[in-house]
Amino acid sequence: MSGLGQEDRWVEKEWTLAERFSANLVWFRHQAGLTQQELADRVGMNRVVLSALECGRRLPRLDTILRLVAGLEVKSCDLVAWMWWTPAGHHHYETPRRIADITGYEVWDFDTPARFRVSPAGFETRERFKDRLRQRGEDPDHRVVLELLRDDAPKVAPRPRPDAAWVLRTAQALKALREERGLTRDELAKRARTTAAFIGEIEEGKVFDPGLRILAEICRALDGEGTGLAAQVEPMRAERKAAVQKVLDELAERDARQAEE
Amino acid sequence: MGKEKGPQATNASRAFGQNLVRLRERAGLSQEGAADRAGLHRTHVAMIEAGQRLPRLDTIVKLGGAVGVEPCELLAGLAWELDPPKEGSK
Repeated sequence: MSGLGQEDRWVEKEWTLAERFSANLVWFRHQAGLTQQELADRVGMNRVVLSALECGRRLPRLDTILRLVAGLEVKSCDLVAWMWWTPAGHHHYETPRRIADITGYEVWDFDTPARFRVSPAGFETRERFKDRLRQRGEDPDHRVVLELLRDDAPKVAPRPRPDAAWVLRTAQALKALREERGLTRDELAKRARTTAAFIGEIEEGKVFDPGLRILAEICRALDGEGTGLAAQVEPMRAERKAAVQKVLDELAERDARQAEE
Repeated sequence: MGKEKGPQATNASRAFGQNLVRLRERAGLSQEGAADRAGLHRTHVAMIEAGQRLPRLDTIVKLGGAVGVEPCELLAGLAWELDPPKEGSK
């Protein structure tokens, strides 16, 4: 797996919601110095149910969350921390000039499905970020890591969606590449795990918005594993990663400077 | 399941519903719009808003994302009184 088509992932390991809740629960139970049985007794719950929650095999209902919050004497924000929901959305990326010249893709336009976001961060990290916010004179309880990153990341001006000319260029580039490789639509479809009909539609410029995942699959299928065109997409991912790292470094630097003052 | 709801559960679901209505209106969303963004059925959201349902964690997180807040903001002001520990439960 080249990892293409996973562009929008923030985290290395994908946690489920139940796993994240269980991590929060276990952490605060240990902080409170309670055993499973003691906590179960305290909140009037069956220990087996509590154990299932701690194993990430079960999702609690509102009343259970509130019982546990009371039993652990934490804030409700603590138990439901590090989990978010992103509604379905539309995304728009501008391809760096250098890559656009080669691929003909000037923009990547794609829709993302609605999904849960779960951070693998531990509570130590959370405390570090809270300290950082305190240093900056902000309320540490009302901000989260991603918000912090979002604020500090450079704002991207909204761009218009791709026009017909872009769709046509994409279509022509694809078709030319496929023919250069001597592949039929059927063969390409099989390799890119899609249908020949869909490839036909893209090539004829009928698909306005093929989606990043499918384009990446097609690029890879056209070029084999990890070479040529598919490799051109990699720098985009690296660039984005570097941009995030830069923001983090700048923040750390600023904090260090403030600490000195 | 969950038929024997105590008064505390009723209060909790009611308060949760009120929080949801407040935050949804602040976000300028209709019930239908919020349900759409949360990927839930509108009647489900309506029941939660009316305090007739105790939502599960995934639903809470979805609703938070739909109205653009951290999940825990939906739990603001909600608390639970635990029963005093029973004799010999150690």
